[in-house]
Amino acid sequence: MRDRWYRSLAVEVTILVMLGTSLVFAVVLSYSYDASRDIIRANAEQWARNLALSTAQRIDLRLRTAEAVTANMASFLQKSKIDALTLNALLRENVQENPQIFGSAVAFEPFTFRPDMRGYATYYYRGASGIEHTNLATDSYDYRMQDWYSVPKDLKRPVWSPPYFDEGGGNIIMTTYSVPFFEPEEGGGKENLFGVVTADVSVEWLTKELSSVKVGETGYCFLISDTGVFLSHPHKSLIMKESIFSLAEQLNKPELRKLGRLMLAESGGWEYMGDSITKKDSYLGFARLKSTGWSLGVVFPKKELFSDIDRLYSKDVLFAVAALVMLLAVSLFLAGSITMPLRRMVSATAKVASGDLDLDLPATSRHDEVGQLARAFTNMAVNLKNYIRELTLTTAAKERMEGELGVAAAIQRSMLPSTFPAFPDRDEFDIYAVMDPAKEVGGDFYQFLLVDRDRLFVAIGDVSGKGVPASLLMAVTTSLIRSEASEGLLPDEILRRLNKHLLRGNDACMFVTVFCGILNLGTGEVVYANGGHEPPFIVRPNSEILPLPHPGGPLVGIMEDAEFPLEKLTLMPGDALFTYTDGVTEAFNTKEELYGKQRLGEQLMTACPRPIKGMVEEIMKSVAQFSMGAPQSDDITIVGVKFNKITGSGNHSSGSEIVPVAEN
Amino acid sequence: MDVNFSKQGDWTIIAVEGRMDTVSAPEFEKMVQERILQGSNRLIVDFSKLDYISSAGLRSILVAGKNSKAKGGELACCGLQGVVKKVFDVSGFHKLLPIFDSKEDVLNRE
Repeated sequence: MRDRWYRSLAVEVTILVMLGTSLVFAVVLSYSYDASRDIIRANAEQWARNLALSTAQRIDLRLRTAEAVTANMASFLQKSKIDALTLNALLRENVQENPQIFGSAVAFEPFTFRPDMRGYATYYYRGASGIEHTNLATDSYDYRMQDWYSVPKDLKRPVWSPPYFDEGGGNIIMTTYSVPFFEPEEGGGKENLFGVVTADVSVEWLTKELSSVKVGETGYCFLISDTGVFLSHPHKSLIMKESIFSLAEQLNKPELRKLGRLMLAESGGWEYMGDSITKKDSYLGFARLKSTGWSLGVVFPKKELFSDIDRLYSKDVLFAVAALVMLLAVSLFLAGSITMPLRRMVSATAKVASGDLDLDLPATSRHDEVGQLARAFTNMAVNLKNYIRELTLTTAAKERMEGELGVAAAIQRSMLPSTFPAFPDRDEFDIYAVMDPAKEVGGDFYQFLLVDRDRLFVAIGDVSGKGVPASLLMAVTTSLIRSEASEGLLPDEILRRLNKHLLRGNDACMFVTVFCGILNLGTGEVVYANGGHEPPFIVRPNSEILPLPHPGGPLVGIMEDAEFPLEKLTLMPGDALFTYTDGVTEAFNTKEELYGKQRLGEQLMTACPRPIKGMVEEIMKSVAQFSMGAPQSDDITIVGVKFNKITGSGNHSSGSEIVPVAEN
Repeated sequence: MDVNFSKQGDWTIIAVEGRMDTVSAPEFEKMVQERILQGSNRLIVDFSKLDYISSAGLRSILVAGKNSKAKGGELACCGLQGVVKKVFDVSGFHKLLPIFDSKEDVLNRE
């Protein structure tokens, strides 16, 4: 049994704990990461929208100031007639006092300023050396053909010109607000145009703050005109040269075109723009300028947006890994200490299995399952040890008892004549006996002896019960019968005396069945008495089987003054007397069937031609075969006597009157 | 072996069924002894359903009879049939214990 380190309970528990914890960490972290990203994205959106809006408003404010100044001027000119000097002074002051205005012009329709003047247009602007003045009404420059003049004139309302590069003027990108003013009429009608007041606003000046607007580390602002032309962008090369739409065409980015349309259609918004303009994944917040319809965009790189959360998240992951490592150590330690008694028990079990029960398991004070197991195991070992000790003692006692039983069995056998042929010098009869106890010692017995030259005494009996108690009673009974028979007593008297003897102090109610008889070898006459025993059979040589009539006496040893009638019968030469105990007829087979008297009779019929020894052995064999496999329930005893011929009719030795009794 | 006890008047009827042999007899003896100690000393053993009785069985009947007599009671046998009746006849038990055809005969005797 090879144990690998990773097969230990502690490691298994630790791995499970680690897997579970990792899963929990992963779920919690990824959830919090997603939630944080959502919050940050929402915050960033709000912030970018606000940034775009506030920046747009700031620019708008400047444009509106320029609008207001210009509108005031127009309104003034509409109401009052002023001379050239005052006009120029006012115009100069307007430019000087309003830093958002790069230049301002007033241009009149022919003959409206002065009837003698075909055209009049005066322009003040910020030149290299302060406020400078130019007269725009020259022959080479027909101001009335210029957009800044003709468009508001035709539309009869103020307009912002598209941004343009003012070549020759300020050499800067400009946008011009032009306000027309009219001849005053009843009801404020706008029939006769007097002229147009303009204010030039430098786009660069407008947007110079944009570069200072910080959009994170790498984000930026840009401004597009109402046609999508870049007015401000960190890439100067785009300004006034490209529009968001031409860029989309060049870069083949339809999504950029869509963004451009969105920027010029909505008042504000927040869109994911991908890497359309910059190379980085970015978001775009934008807001429209109400005055000009331009749109301000705030580009916010996605990476930067989430850089904090990514940093935090990588810290979290690092922390989680560190926590897992610590947990691994703690878990291994704890699981190891929890399973320590188990490991001890494993080695202890191996010791027990190898037969060593002297365990030295340290006592545990733990009350959990492991502690219970440890205590149960210790108890088991102690109990096993006790059990084995008791078993050893019991086995030893049993062996001793079996040894004693063996001796007892030998003694018991020695009480029964067991040398055959028992009377080798007598050919008038043959006798053969077998006793097969169910246990070592039995309750069956038999006895035979020659009372004198002509009389053969035979007895067979069965003590109630079996085993040691039966064998003790059997020893008493067989001795009594033997001594009384040798005195020459008749069977009825023997049984009467035996009954009396056994009755004395028979508290255990043990009794004996005995058949005993005396065969007169000179006549073939048998006198017998039966004390509750199975009647024997007479087996004739012609296969005739005759059971002896029963009614005999009662069981021996239980009834006061029991009488055992003396019966008589005569054997013919060749006849045999077959006596047996109920161990024969009541032998069972595995099907719980009895051997029975019927079967015994049939077996005797087939066995009767054989000599007496063969006949007895044949019956024994038949019983053994019948009950094959079933435990022997009772002692089995058979005694057979064959009366061959009448004494004196053969040539036997008659040297002595007293024939020595064969004893074993 | 099955042993069923039932009461009828002051008689205790013990119906035995199956085989009363070396194995079952000691148990029967113990059960009956318990009843006798509880005061049931007038016993009728009903053998009508008993298939077989060995010498150990006879002995346990004998012990039961003796014990009940010691307590001033008695033991009667009834329902003897077949092998059991033969054993009773052979052993002379019919001379030792009162034998009746049926338990009613015992009960009606009085």
